[in-house]
Amino acid sequence: MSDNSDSVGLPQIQRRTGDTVFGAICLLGSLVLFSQMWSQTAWVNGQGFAAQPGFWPRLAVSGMVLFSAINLAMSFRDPSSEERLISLGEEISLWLRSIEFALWFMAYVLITPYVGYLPASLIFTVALTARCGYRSPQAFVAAALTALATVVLFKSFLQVRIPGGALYESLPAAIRNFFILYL
Amino acid sequence: MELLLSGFELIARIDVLIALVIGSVGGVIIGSIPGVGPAVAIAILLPATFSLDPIVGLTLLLGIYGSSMYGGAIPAILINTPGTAANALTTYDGYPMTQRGQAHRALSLAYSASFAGGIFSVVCLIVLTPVLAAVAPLFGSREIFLAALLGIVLVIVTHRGQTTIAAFLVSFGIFINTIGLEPIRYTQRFTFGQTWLTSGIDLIVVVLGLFAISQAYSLLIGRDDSPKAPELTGSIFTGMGELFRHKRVALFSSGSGVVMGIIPGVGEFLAQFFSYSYAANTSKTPEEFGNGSPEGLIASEAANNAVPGAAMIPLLALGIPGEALTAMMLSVFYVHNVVPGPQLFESQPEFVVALYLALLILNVLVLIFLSVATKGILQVIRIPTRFLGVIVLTLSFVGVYSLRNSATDCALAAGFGIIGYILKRLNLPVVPIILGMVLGGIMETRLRTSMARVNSPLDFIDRPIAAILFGLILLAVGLHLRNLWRSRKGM
Repeated sequence: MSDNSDSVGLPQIQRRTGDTVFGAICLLGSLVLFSQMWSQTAWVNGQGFAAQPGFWPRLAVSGMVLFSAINLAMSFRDPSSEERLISLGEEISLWLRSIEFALWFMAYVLITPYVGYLPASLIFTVALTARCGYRSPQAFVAAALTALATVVLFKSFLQVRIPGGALYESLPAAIRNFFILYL
Repeated sequence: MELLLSGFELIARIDVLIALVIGSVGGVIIGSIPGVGPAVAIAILLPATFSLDPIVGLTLLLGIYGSSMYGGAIPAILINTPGTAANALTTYDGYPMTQRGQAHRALSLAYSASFAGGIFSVVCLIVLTPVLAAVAPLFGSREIFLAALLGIVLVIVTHRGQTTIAAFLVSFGIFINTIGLEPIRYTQRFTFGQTWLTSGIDLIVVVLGLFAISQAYSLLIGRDDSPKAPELTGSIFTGMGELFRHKRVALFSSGSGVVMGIIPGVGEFLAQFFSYSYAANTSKTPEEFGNGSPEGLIASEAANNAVPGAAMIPLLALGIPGEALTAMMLSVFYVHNVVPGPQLFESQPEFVVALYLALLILNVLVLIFLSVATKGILQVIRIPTRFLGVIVLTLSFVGVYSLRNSATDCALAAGFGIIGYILKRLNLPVVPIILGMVLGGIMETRLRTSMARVNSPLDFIDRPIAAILFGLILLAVGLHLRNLWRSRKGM
């Protein structure tokens, strides 16, 4: 099978910029877990290894240490790792940029219980659309419609469990229940 | 026949049919958007399906799984960008055909090959059901443990050139699954005294982080792009008859898709490479491959569409998912107390048949939908990349937050999103983490159960199926070591 695959050019896996840094982070993280292995898992006397509560986590962490060490060693000696499309600094700054969007996501999560699912979704999609560089009225309308469609589909129709926001409590009684249940 | 009718009765309900239509149409649309794909869609929809009937929820997810590759062929052929990873080889011959002004022919060939692959795999499922029903009860705890171990070994060795990092990621997945309160003796495992870790890390949180949220980051950070697809004119089925002229390739590719789909940890990617190689090596016009060969297009599309049906075999018969999408479906089964595995064939055979029939119907629905909606789908391809990122992140929120309304789950998912994004940047696979989590859990339970009845290591493989599985594990490891040795010798 492998020979055939090669004949049509199964893509060659190239090591990329940042591979060594990622390998080092993996090894470091694995070693930290390894150092905590005995205090964070139990080993019961008189039990076979398969029945030990600590067997699988210890096996997994040992595997993480072993394979991350081999991977890191290989990343140093692999010649393709020398081919750099972008600098290491640029690559790591891209990784760090993902944190910004993780924070956007968490802001969405944290405001929802207060302002409610629909208002939070509207604020989130419109603000993030603006952050992405779309400033036209059509883009904002599209963002608002995306938020509305998502809320209607998931909360109104599929009835997913997202509680009403605290802000909904201040709505007139006639529409309060509707907002809590469906929006 | 009675079983077939019982299965049909189970899906002949309005809610199931609606789920089937939404899943099939939604799957095609999602598949046609480069950068989204079925894994993201299934991850987002997963918690929403928990409140549905098992057959309704599974039909919806099956619809997306089975139809997304039809949609993925559209951008692969028209703009040289595969809609899903499984359509990568379709670009080789599909796009050159578009450049020659044969977009219709390429699309119709892709649709008909996909249909052939999809139907072939469902027919195989139906034919194999009595065999599976007879063989599945022979799988005890040790056989299921060995089958899961085989899945782990295969998912590692099939990542050629990345086996050590794949092994690390599998170990990481197994580790994540062990975090929390251990269920037999109630001891804490890697909770560091944190109460929020006691209940463990939910598979869906990890899946949503690694697939959906990481993809949203990737779209939001990457270059903004709004692909332009060529205009389509005329009928979309002009090249349908061409499939019959290349029926040998279509049959072989569908067959290889079925075989690769059954083997845990292998999947669409290897199936299409294997089929494409076969087609290229046996063609009378090998020089056309990569330049718009209809055989190449058929090989790629028939193979990848035969996989979803076949991938249901280890899931349904043994409860072992072969790849990330079936791993996600496994959680739907568990939520509804439907435990896939040997007992399912004995206790609820009509449920299994109903799923097969749903797969069969969805292939027909997709073909009908594509015959009228291909031109409309082109509008979806044109959604700007970063705006797509906004949509995916908005939808990811529903997926994670609706699970337990937990901000901690969301923070964990956002964190796994960062890990997934870095893995994507480095061209490293995320699937081993998911399979490590799912198969690790299965292995722990099954090993514990089976070791109670085993006195010596040899007892573990003294039953025929256990011995065969053990032999396959040795074979997979042996072949991998041989390949390593050969490549080192070549250097």
